[in-house]
Amino acid sequence: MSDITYKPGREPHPKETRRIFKNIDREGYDPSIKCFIKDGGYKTLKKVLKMEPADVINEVKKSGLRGRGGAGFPTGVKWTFIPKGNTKPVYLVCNCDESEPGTFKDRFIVHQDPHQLLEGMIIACYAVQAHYAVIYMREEFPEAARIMNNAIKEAEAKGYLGTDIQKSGFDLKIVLHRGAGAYICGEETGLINSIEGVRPYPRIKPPFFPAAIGLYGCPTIVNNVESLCQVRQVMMMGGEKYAAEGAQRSPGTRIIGVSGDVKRPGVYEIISGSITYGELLYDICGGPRIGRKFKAIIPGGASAKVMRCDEVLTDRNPDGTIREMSVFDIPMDLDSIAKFGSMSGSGGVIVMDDTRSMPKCLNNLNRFFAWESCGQCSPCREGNPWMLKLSTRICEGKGSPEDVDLLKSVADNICGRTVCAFGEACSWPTQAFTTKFRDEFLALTKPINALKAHSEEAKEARKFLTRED
Amino acid sequence: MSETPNAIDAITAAQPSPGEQFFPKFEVTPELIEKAKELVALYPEGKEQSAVLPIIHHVQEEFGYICADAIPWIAEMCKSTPIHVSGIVTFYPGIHRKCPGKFHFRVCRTLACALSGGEELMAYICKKIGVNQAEICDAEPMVVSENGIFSIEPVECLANCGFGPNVMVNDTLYSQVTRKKVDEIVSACKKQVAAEKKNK
Repeated sequence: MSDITYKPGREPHPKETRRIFKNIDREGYDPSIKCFIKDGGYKTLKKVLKMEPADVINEVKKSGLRGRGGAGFPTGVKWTFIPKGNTKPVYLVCNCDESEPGTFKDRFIVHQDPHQLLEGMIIACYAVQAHYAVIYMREEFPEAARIMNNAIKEAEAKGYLGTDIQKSGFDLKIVLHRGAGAYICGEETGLINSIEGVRPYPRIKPPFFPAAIGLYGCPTIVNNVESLCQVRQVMMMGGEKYAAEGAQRSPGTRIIGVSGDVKRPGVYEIISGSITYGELLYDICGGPRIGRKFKAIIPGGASAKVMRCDEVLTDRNPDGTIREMSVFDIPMDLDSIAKFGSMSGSGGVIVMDDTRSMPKCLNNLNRFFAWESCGQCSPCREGNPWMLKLSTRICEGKGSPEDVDLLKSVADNICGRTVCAFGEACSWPTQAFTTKFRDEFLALTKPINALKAHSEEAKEARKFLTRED
Repeated sequence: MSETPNAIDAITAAQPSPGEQFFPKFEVTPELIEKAKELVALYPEGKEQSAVLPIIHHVQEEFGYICADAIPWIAEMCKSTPIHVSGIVTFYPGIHRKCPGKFHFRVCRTLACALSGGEELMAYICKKIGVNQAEICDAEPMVVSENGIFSIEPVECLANCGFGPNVMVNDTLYSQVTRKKVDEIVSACKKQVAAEKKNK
């Protein structure tokens, strides 16, 4: 690995292990196919095309690779959900609608190393025998769309895409489809509806996986960009070798994006579980800014529950004794943080220091969710603007202490009552912020506000009942 | 016709914008039909409707926005219905029903960018390009400056959270934007417009 040099100021930290991000910010590397092939690209594909598709699926299953989009579902297992004896065409969709606030890993892959994704996609398509695949890219990546379209053309010209790929008899067409700025298109069934050209409302479950009924009513596999790159990595290394590295239940490398109040925010690729949140934030990211202290961490994209940095967590040692720890001692794999009530999701870590007002942060997230709710289910469509109204009122100092409880109860009543996971995604931040930073919310409220009218209509109706002071 | 338009009339009603002077007026040309057919051909047979978003993107790139006249034509091209296309056009925040300025600013306002000063930057850009920030509301997030050169819109997450605050000007993303950077961008835009006027 020593022959790789990176652009000045962009060198990886010694605690990083660059696999998927090997070519990101690399000196003299460009997104062309020439560069990729020179670096050993498409060799894995040639190897895979000589294998049986079922063996490829087995290899990925053996590796224990879990999806990197946020839910962490085993990729190989997802592929086996295609109904047996299926006669319809199978489709593969690459989810590049990276829109979870705090997540910004896929943009580097599609901007700087598009062929890595294409190779991963072709391997995945071969495994599930899909002859038509779609890259669903968000509208905010116009540059990446051009790079990707160009990469597809290059791959077609070199015979890695199209009919009879590398004389294996396998045909594949990849199409780039651009979204138009809607968060809900990251939900796999919403994404499928968007490709079909209808309003991207998520579909009713069951079936829980579009592998049963998906795009155009046919079996469809939806995988994240990073997951597909990891598939290439698995086939390169071999399933068993891949599974041996990193955390037992979530092997391989993970890409973590750190944003917010740290000295060196950015994207880092680490071996899953090899470091803790403390090592990530203090060693790799350089700690808090001068004179400040860490206050809270959102560990996996905006919808993950916030963690207090001064909170004492208890965990059980292997010998049964109980030990006390803080959020900084939690290892960075997919499951460890779930024990403490949050999730590692898509690997977007947002850090807030002691100068930040938590109600304001929550208000910002509530505005995001109120804006992005697709409007299909009433609890989410009506509940999100309500939560926004309440948190805005609290931030403006016009709220009463009851409003904090009301805010949480609105969130509790959205959660689990919607078609898609957006209901959970939008209510978890509110639930966690109001529970863990309740004092801060209460400090902004005044009991007298409960008697005051907030809207013009209410003021008019009450004008003879209350006095303005 | 009654005085208050119904919901469908409101969707198709023309929303005049000073930005229109920088874009051609929507018109169906053989090249446009050719391009639409090319986009439809990308999708499996019988699934022409899938091409609705790509065609909308193409029309928006060429003409700046999706005007009411474009909707029936898009519907015809992808074998759909105008009301269906209207449904798509009204759903996505990335599709404009009003013409943006020649330089369209998209300022991220989600948490990570807000932590690095996105909101103050938004106020500064509004002042710099001469639009009234108070006009920005949920129903009409995009505001166009009077001379039609600039327009601004707050958007949610541009997926570059580590390097906020982020601003997109047309297709270019600027990260870690400072006030000085804004000044540079705005003056470069103005210069370009002045140069184009001269050449005419």
